[in-house]
Parts: sequence; structure tokens; C-alpha cells
Amino acid sequence: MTEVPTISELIHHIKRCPAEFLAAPIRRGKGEVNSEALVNDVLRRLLQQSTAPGKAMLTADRRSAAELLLIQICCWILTHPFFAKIDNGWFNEVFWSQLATVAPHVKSELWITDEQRAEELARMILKCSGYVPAGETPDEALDRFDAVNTVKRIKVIEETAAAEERAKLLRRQMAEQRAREAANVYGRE
Amino acid sequence: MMKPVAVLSDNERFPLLEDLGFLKELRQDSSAPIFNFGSGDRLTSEKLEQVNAYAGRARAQQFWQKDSLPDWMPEFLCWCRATVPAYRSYQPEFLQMPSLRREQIAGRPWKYVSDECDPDDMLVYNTSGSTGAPMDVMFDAVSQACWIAQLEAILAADGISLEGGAGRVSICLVCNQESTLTYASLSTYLRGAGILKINLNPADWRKPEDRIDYLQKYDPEILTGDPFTFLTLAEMKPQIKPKALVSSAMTLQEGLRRRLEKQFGCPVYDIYSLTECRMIGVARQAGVYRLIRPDLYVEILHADKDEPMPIGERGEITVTGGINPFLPLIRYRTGDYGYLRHDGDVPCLYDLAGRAPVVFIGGDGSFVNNVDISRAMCEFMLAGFKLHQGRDRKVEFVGWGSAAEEDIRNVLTQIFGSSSQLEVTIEAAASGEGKKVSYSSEFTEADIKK
Amino acid sequence: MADTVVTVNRLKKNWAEAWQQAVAIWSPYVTLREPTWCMSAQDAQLEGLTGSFAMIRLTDHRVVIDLDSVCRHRVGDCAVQILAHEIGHHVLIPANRYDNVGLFRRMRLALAGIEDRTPLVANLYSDLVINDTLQRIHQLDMASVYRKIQQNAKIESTLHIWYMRTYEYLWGLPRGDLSGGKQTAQLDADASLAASLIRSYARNWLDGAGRFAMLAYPYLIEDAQHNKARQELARYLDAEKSGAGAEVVGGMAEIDESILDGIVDPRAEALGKSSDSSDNAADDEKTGRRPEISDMRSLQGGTGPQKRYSEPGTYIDMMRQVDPAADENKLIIRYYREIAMPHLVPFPEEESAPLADLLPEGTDQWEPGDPVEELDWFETTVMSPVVVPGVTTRSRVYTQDTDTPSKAQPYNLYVGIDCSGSMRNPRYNFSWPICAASIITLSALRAGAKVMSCLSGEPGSFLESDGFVTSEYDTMLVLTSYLGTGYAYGIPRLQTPYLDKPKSKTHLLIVSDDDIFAMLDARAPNGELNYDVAEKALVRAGGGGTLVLHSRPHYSAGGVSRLEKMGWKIHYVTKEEELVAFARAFSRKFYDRTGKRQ
Repeated sequence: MTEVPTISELIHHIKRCPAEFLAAPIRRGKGEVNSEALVNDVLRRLLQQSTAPGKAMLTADRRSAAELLLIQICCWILTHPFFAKIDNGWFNEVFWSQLATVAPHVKSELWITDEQRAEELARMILKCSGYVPAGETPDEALDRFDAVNTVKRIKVIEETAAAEERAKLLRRQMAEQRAREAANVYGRE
Repeated sequence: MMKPVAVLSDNERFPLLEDLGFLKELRQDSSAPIFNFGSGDRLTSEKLEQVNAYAGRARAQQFWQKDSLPDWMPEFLCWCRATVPAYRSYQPEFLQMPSLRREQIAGRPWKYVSDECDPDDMLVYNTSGSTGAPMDVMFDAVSQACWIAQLEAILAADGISLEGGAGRVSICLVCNQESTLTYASLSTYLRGAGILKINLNPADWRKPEDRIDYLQKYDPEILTGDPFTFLTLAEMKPQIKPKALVSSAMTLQEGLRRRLEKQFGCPVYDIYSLTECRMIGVARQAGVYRLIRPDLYVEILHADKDEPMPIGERGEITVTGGINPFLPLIRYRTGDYGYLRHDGDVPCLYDLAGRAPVVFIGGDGSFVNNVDISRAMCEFMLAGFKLHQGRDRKVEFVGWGSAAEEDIRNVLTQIFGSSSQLEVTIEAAASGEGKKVSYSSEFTEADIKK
Repeated sequence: MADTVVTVNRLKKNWAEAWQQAVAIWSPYVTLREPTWCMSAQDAQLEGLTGSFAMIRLTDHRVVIDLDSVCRHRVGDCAVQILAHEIGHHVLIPANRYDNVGLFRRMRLALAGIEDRTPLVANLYSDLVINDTLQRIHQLDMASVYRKIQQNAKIESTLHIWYMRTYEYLWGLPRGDLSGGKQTAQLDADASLAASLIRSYARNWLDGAGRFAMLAYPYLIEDAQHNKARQELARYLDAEKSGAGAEVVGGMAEIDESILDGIVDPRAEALGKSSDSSDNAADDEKTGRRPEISDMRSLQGGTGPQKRYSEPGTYIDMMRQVDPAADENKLIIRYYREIAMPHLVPFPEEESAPLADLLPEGTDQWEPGDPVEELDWFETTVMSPVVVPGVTTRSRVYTQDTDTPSKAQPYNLYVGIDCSGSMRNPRYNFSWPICAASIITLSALRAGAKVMSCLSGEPGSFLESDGFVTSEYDTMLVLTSYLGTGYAYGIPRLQTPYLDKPKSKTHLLIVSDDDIFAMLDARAPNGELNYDVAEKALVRAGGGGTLVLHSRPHYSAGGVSRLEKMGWKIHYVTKEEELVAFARAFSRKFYDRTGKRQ
């Protein structure tokens, strides 16, 4: 049986991401790393087909730098030995494309420096691979992923932020106006 | 007295008035009271236009038909659901909408402010409330100034109009308290007319005689105040010729009304109003409050259920609408009880009384309606009274004003029965406390002999 | 009963042993006295400790522990964690009175409208920073302490749930481990943001304070929620009053513009685009609608000269929150003094003799924020070889030598200020007339003159100092009070016995507006026309008179020429701001260096 790593082990792995994976992706002729080539290198390694032609097409120019950087970071994560041992059917373009939703909400360096974001990434990848982290039940794993899920969090904030901001503004104005003279009172209530 | 600490300049108080000479005159007059505050109406030209537009609608006095909702209702509800956070989740159908109580608003008043409101227009008035907890009521300069337009609509029914203009004091709010904010101000809507808020307490004046001199000199068109204050004022016998007296804050007893009308030679209006929505109705005679706000829909709801009472049946007075975008009301329970009946085209409130009916028990164990007591007391020259019944059926009555204890005892004996034990006290009008008429009882509905 | 005493005594022994261990976790150089151990709730109450089992005082660098309460909360075996936590308040956050005020200052801006909640939020924030540092860096098991206390706790208020949920995020604890069972998606989102924030700002915690308070805001906006949260969290509140009883921290009237950038709602930041700066702006996808962020500058309400100062109401409120025992009068005087200071005349230098010789009296605590020149390095080094600002630093205290050499007396000063309905309350809104009067008064006192101050709003009321005084406090106390009655300065005030036969020549200074002419036209209580009162007072005072009017010259030309014929100087300001320039010029004319008229 394949031994699934714990979340903290994966987080530890993510935090050790080498600088090469964090270099600027090449877009429109500028940048240092060819993200597509990196993805295909990782793919070849995992499939143990060192000479196979590239399987993934990223069309880097149509993606944001944030997304490409996240893709690069995921490439590093997949170098963890665990991923070489498991089935890799999930490891296709659908996986790479789903990173576009979350990438714009997080500063790229936070994926590896911020504990929570690293956890989010670790959980996301494990979930995609269909495994539950060691020491957790499927329900726990799902709840913990929910708890750090950026897309979900942003949605909640979007739903409530404007109303809260308005309430705050009025509350502050009330406090100010309470101390201030109001306007003519003509009769008694 | 809570005195706001941040004050405005006169130019901020009256953005549209160029000449503030009359204001200075009112403040610097040799018989002027020691004013302790300043105030203005804060009307800009845009806001003044809104007040004028409202005045036009108020004058028309077009009410909703019996058994139907006002024409403006669908649009108003739509607007509330679209722009007021607290109403956003409401069902579209008016009769499906839940009623609202004071406590709900008091905890989070900002949720009742329309998104369309500019916070810079906000004014705050703290109401201690004769019933319930203190509450901050938000409003704007327009809804505040519209009080005058509502008053004009009341006066117009009797062919009275306000003259206004610089040099004339149009409204004088008279108080008689230990301490209160007092000021001389102007009304932009009334073209620079004077507005006064004065306190009859001699401590507020340089000489006690100044109170009469000042009032006589500026002879306000309208005096507003509560019944207690009017009684004190009447006893001072100022030679003034107001066009009307406007009494509010507590029910005006019929005897006092007659005296005031006779002494000042003008109509005396008893206003039913709330801080949350200002004026609701006016009574020219005891017990019947004619509604005066076509923009404020009034319905009578069951005390415990959000169901309208059948026409003519008593329940809680509930209001919807109003012109305050900082507190648009949907089915707001006023805490007052009465029943509603159309009198021609105008809806009227009858048997108005604060809170749920209080249960009194007669000598034979039967239920005594406090409305009967209120009616009977109209005959006396009382500014107010307090009536309490204990578990032993003993009735304690305290009245404020001038009436013979013996006469009151006779009337109460008729109501409660000859076997009832009565204790009647009459005190000077000035010693009255709180709300003008108060009933309390240690009995509940369970005690009524069927 | 006897059992309890035995238990508490044993606890004291254990905890006293744990103290040095707890200190060493932070730094062996920290020199804090052993805590005050309270053996009973009554003892604790005497120390001002109620609600919680521990508290800290920045003023005397104390930790107070209620061992009886420790027992009741069953955390007797958590000595090291709890003591290390309390020490954390002294060495990490808020650490000293100056940073404590800084913390409050930032949080108050974020909690606009509900500033009264600041001490609570500041305490929770400090605790999070300290506990996370202890748990993560110093490997102390803080979670177990919280688990114990939370076990039977009531966790109903959303603030409480959010706060505890934040710990769960920080320490990777299972959902509900500390926060009970009532989380929502929104609480999750906000706790997640809070946890990230605590980590990011652990070292620069002052910069994260505003953001944290912004996150807490929705959970405190309603009074009822706030009260409930306070009740539930009372046992954790150990630092709310840590600044009590201290001298007023200086320099707080002036606005610190640099703190505004930190008054940001992390929710708004989260919605804003956070992608790399290397991205071309043109490439960026449409960002989500960003919630309107209130205009922070207007929140700060810059006022006074160069709009550099907070409103006095805000200042007093804040300082009293830091120290609830602070005297409001002292604070408002401090406020106007701070603003007046740059405009004062220099101390007299003639014959190189200061007004009074300053004699060293002893030393006192020196804290960050106190003037650097007052820091006594010698005494500080004697105290400890390792300098910890606010802990080991000492300042020298001087006393005035009462044996002042005699010298030529400058003119005494009578300041009469219009405090009628048209004047603002100087305790709530910055007042230009009071600022100007402060500059002149403090300059006069510096020069050795005596000052009588009078506020008057008449008809109505007045307030004046007890004759001509040399006390800064007495004269400033009058100036910074408020009446708000009547319409002008009451000319009959000039009939005060103190101006009847003044011992030395006195200059009369009156600040009012155009309404003074209505006052001059009226009669004094003795029937005299006020114009005559003004004329006679001027003659008797013997040092001239200046009437400063916020008005325009042509408004009351007749009255003006009448006053000028008497010898009154009339000075007009068309904007109140000009009063400061006037005050500077006036002070220099009358009180610069020699103290004599130039």
C-alpha cells in the first residue's frame, strides 16, 4: 500500500521549494523559466518516459504570471516521491487549468512562505490525486481544505464585505453626529 | 441635560440665509433668555426644494381608501427591499411582511438606513422614550423640516396659515423643565422666520418678568409644548395672540383644552407623534385623532400576531412609510393601542392609549375599561393623572392640576362601583412626572370574572 | 477552606519556581520583579485584578497573579505558559507605555464609531501575538492552557468564536477544539485572515494592529454583541488596563501620518488583486469590486496649525482609554500646551539667569516617547548593563529653586475670551481662540508675568482664575473649560476687583467677535454703559488693551472708533486660523526675552 504523507510533511516539502521554480515565467518573450517545458519535464519524470514528447500545452501568453508561477510551484510539489508512486491519470491539463481561479488572489511567494497557503496547496493537490492525508479521515480532510480554501474565502468576503463596510461607515457617522448639534426641533415627541 | 459638544457656525446652520440680523436680535434682546445652545435647519437649496415638494403633497391630504393600501405602497416596498439592508430579505407581499418592534431597530439602526443615503446628511436624535429603551433615531434635515409642512396641513384645515418671513417668530417650542437646550433659530422654509426653544424655568432668564416680556414682544404665531407646560404658561397670563397651540408628548385632557382655547382665543391641537416617524394624527376633540400624513400608512395589528385586526377593533397601532430615508418603516409597531375608522375620506384613530389595555376590576369583579376612565377625566382641569389598582382592588389616583378631590371620587365611584376603595390625591400641575396619563394594575386578563 | 489554603500555598511555591524559567524563555536579561501573588480573590481585587487570573501593569512593570482564580480555572499546572505569557506583555507587546498608546491609537482609527472597544481588541491582539510566538518559536504548549479554560466555557458570541478559531488556524487544531461548535463560513474566512495577519506582523505588530481591529469590527458593531463577548472573554483580559496610573505620554496630540497606511481592512485587501508586480497592468484580469474604504484622512480629522493635530475630544478619549484614571483637565491642558509649544517665546536669557534655577531632585522612569534629552545615561547604566527602553531607562527629575532673583517685572496679562454659543467647545473641537490664548498665556508665564484668565459667555455665565496667578495649571484650566452661553464676552467682567487697583501694570486682551458691540451698547449690572466700563478698566490697568475680533473692520465702524479713542487697539482676524499668527506676534512684542515692551 502506498504511504500517503501527512499534511505537515507536504507543507515542509513546499517550503523548501528551490529558487529556480520561483523565477519569472517566460511570457511574451520576457522572463526566465519556460513553464510549459517545466511541466513536461516533471510529467516525463513521473511517467518515467524521459524522451516522450511534451504532453501539456500551456500557451503561456494567455495565462497570468501569477498562474504560471503557481503552476511552477506545483511542479516542485510533484517532485515529492509520493507522487511517483501513485497513479497519474489525474495529472492532465484539467489540473493545470484549475489553478487559474485561485492564483490571482494570492501573492505568489505566499504559497511557500505562508503556512496557511502552503497547507491549502498541499491539500488541494492531495485532493486532486484522490488521497487523504495520513492521520485524517476523509471528512476531516475535506473540512480542513474548506477552512483554508482561498476561493471559498473570497466568495464569502465578497458576499459580506460591502454591507459590512456600509454598516461601519454609518456606525462611525452616528457616533460623530451624536456629539453634534442636530437641527431645529419644532415640537415635542 | 445632554448637551452636544460639537457646535456649528451660524453659516453652517443656515446655508441659504444671507441676513442673520433677526437671529442676532432674538439672541441679544434685553429680555431674551440665557440661551444655552444654537441650532439651525441646515437646509441647502436642494433640500429646501424637497421640503417644498413634500409640502405640496401634505397639503393635498389624499389618503388611502378604506380597505386598500396607499398608491405609493408598492413602489415604497420595492425601494425598501432594494436599498435597505434590514428589508432585503423580505417577501414582496406587504401582508406577508413581518412587523417590527422598537428593540429590533435600537440594536442595529444602521441596518434600516437606505443605501441611497449620504452619511453626511445624517442627523442623530437620542430618544429616551416613555416606553422602552433609549434609541438613537437617525434622520435628515429634510424630514426634520417637513414637520412644519405637516403642521401647515393641520392648520389649513381650519383656515389658518403661517406668515413667516424675517422679523416674525413663527414657532416657539415652550418647555418647563429643570434644564433643557434652549436656542433662538430661524426657518429657511418659512423664509427666515424666527424659531424659538425656551424654558419657562425662571433660572433660564435674567429676570422672571422677562419670560412674559419676551413672549409678548415676539408674539409667536404658534406655540408648541406639552400639556403641563401649557398649564404653567396659562397661569402666567401672557398677553399674546397665537394662531394655535400645538400640544404633544402626552394626551391633552379636554378640560385643559377648553381652558387654553378660551384664554388664548385659538384652536388647541393635540398631536399624536413618535420620534421614530414624527406626527401621526391630530385631535381637535377628545378621543379622535385624525390622521394627517398620507405618506404614513397606519394599520391596526393584533398584539401578538402579525395580523390586521378587523375594522373597528382595538389593536396595536402600526405604521409604514414616512419620509425619512434614514429610517423607512415597514410595519413598525408603535407600542400604542387604538382602533381605526374612516371618517369620510380620512382615517381616524380612536381610543388611543399607550401599551396594551390595563386590566382594572370593578367592585363586582367585572372588567373596567380604562378608556372609560380617560373619557370621564376629560371633564376635569387636569394636566394628567396616574391611576393604579392593587391586588386588594384598592384604587389609587393622583391627578395634577386643579380639580376637587370629591368630584373625582364621585366619578371613580360610578365607574368602579360603590363598594370600591378609593384614594384620590390632587397635586399642583408642575409636580407631574413622566407621561401624562398612566394606568397600572396588578390584575391580568385572567382575573376578569366571566 | 483549609484545603484551599494549602493548595494555594503549594501553588505559590510552584509558580514562584516557574517564574525564572518563564523569564528565561524570553531573555535572561529581562529584569522583572517576581509577580505579586494574590492568595485570594479579595487580595486580587485590591490590586485591581478582577475577571481574569492574571494582569500586567506597565506603570510599575508588574505581573499580578490571582492564585485562587488559577485554582478555580484548573490551570495550576500551566505556570510556565501563563507566566511566560504575562512576561510577553512586558517584553513583546505592548511592552511599554509608548507603544501601548501607539497600539490604541491605531486600533481606535480602525474602530471608528466603536472606539470604546479598543482595550478589548488590543488585549486580544496582544495575546494572539504573544501566544503564537510562545507556541511556535519557543515550543511552549499554549494550546493546552486554552483547551483547559475553554472546556466548560460559554462560546456564544461571534467575537469569541472568531478569536478562538484563529488559534485553531494558527496551530493547526481541529475545528471546534477551542472555538466550540458554532462556526460559519464567514467566521472561518475572518479567522483565516486573522491567522495570516498574526504571522505576517508578529515582528512589526504595531503595523498589523489596525488591520486586526478592522477584522474584529463586524463582531463588535452591536452593543449587545460587544457586551456578550466581554462577558465570555473576561477571564482572558489581562492587559486592558496595563497603562493605568502612568504619567501622560507626550507627543500624542500630533497626528502620525505614517500609521494611516495600516488602517486597512484585510478583507478589502483579500479582494484586491494580489498578483505579482511583474505582471503588466494591462494583463490583469478585472479585479473584484473592492469595498469602499473610508477616507482615513478624514477619520484622523487633522486640525489646528497645519492640520497636524488630532481633535482634542479624540485625544482625551484615547488617553483616558489607555489610563482610565487620567485626569481630563490635565489631559486637555497637555493637549493645548503641546500645540502651543512651538509658538512660545524662548525662555528669557537676560543675565543668563533662568526664571528659576533647576536643581536635580532624583530620577524617574524614562520611557520611549519621553524627550531624549531627559534620559539620564549614567543612572540608566547603574540600573542595568543591558538597556531595555522603558524598563531600565531613567530620567533625571528637577525641581525649581524657589529663590528666584528679583528682576524687572513684565506687564501682567488679563485674557478675556468670548465663550458664548458661537464658540466651539475646546475640549471637543480644536479651538483657535484657546490655542492663541494658550500661546500668549504660556509665553507670559515664561517671561515671569502673572496672568488672569476669564471665559465669559454672557448674558449667562463666566469662569475666571482666582486673580492674577503664576500657575500654568490654574490659568490653563480656565481657558480650556467651556460655557457656551449668551452671545459675547461680558464687558462687566472688567469690573473685577482684581483690576480695580492692580499692583503692576496690566495689559487687557479680549478675544471676541462682532457681537461684542451689542454687549458694549448694553449696560452693566450697576447701570453703567459697558463702553464706559471698558474705558475705565483700560485706564486702571495701565498697560494698554487689545481687542481681537473675528470680524471685518467695516461691520461696526462707529463702535471701533469709539474704542480706539479710549486707547484700545483693535486687531481683526477674518479667519480664526489667523489667531495663531496674532498670538505669536503679540507674545513676541510683550514677552520676548526681556519681558518688557519693545
